[in-house]
Amino acid sequence: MPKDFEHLLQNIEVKAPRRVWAAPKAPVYDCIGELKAKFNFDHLCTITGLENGENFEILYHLSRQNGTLLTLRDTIKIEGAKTKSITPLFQSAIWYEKEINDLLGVEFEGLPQAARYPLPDEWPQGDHPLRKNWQPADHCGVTPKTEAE
Amino acid sequence: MPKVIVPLGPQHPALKEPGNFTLMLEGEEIVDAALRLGYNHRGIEKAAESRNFIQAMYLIERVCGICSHAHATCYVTNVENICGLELPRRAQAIRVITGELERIHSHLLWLGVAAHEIGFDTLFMYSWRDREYIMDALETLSGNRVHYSINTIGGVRRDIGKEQIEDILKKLDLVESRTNYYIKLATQEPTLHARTMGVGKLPKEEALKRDACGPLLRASGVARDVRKDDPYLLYGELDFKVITSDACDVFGRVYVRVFEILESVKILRQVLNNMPQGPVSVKMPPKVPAGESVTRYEAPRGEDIHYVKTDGGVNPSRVKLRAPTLANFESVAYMLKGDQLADAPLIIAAIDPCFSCTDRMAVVDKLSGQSQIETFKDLRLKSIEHYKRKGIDFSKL
Repeated sequence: MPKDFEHLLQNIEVKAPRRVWAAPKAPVYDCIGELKAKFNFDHLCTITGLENGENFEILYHLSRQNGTLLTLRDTIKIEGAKTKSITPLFQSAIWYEKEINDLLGVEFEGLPQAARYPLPDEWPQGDHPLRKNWQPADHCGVTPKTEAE
Repeated sequence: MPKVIVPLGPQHPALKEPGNFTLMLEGEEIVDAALRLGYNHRGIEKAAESRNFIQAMYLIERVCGICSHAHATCYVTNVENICGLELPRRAQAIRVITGELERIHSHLLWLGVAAHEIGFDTLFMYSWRDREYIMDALETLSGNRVHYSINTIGGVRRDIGKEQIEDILKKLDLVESRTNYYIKLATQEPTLHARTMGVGKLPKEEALKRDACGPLLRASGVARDVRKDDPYLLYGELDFKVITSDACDVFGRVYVRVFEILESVKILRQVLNNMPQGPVSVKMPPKVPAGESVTRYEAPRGEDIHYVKTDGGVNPSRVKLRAPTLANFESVAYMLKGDQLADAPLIIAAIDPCFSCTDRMAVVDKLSGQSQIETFKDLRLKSIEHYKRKGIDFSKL
């Protein structure tokens, strides 16, 4: 199966039955568009965002009816992190992208502007709790102490 | 006719957990709906990064009080994959038993909630009574009613005995006969039809477009179930059907869930009558190597997906989880449009939403943007002041 994807993907690894890992060769938006249109990867399971020390990794978990789960790893720089939103391809991506935007601070170009998720409206801009160097700041309350304490 | 905006929630008697649905109405009809979620965000993913692998397992189990086994199994499977552990067959069977009992109790719970939303409280009482048999079975099996904690990395914590098997089988007979009664009721009761048929329509194409999952997707006529498509544990060897309905409305969702209870009973009988012999766990290596893994699991509400990354240290370096409810919210916004305001609670309930599953990550206790430490004592005094202004004195209590 990996041969079909050679023009589209690189570093293809099959780590377990039905679990394929790869990185996109083309821009990730085009790559996902082609995977959806030509290879039946028509279900977006979720998008994971993580910080690996030097970069952000955005993992797109795509699946198709035969049970194959493809994890597409897009690596972007932390400084001014920006990538194209895949909401035109997968409507459900709106929640996953909002989540990464709030918690890691990755900007998704083309993500519809609406209520934020999941942080409160008053949460300060530029404060992203899932970053590795994040420390609870003044705006975070402290767990209430019991009377005995 | 002027449009009226009605905010439903975050705190609202029709919703069991906090979520905000801003509904735009023309008369009684909903013409637009906007969602705001995140009120239950507890920082679990971040917290898991500062726990060791075993501690994180108990933490992840507490993501949800209903599909706790689903989340815990997903997480431990990822860690087992990274460690390269081969799970004994008996442990797999016990995980299947717990998982299917959990599905039955979740579906019965949902049936009760849906019945309550349409004002059919007799059915609510009945289904919750029957759910107790399953809760008792889970207690016999694991020692706990809600957070079973049956899983451990490398297997399960408790074996199942002959007496327990017989006890569970007896309870299944009872639940099966009761479920057949509900099926009769669901197909013949005109009030149930009147409140559910044609309500919250979600056509097949729209469900697929919005990446819906679980009973919601199956009630729109799409036979997708992780247990069949991407089998895990023993599901590849078990005989069961994927229940679908072409009704595409709330009635279809009732139908799918009620028949899924019968399929779960079928699965449980197959496993309980042919329990594999052998150990129930293998030893976890002292050090979890660096690696990453992603696992899918068919939770009662739909596909649950977890991702775990490790760096060779004592804690996981990233745990990501996506509960099925989040995947289904896009469909809720669609289903609400065009329906009556009175049906909104039912439509929202029909996806079996679980807000604590959905909102799980960031940080707690935000106090109006300022640094402020409120002790329990302060809060108590504030509440006493609040009630004093209303003429009630609680200070003596």
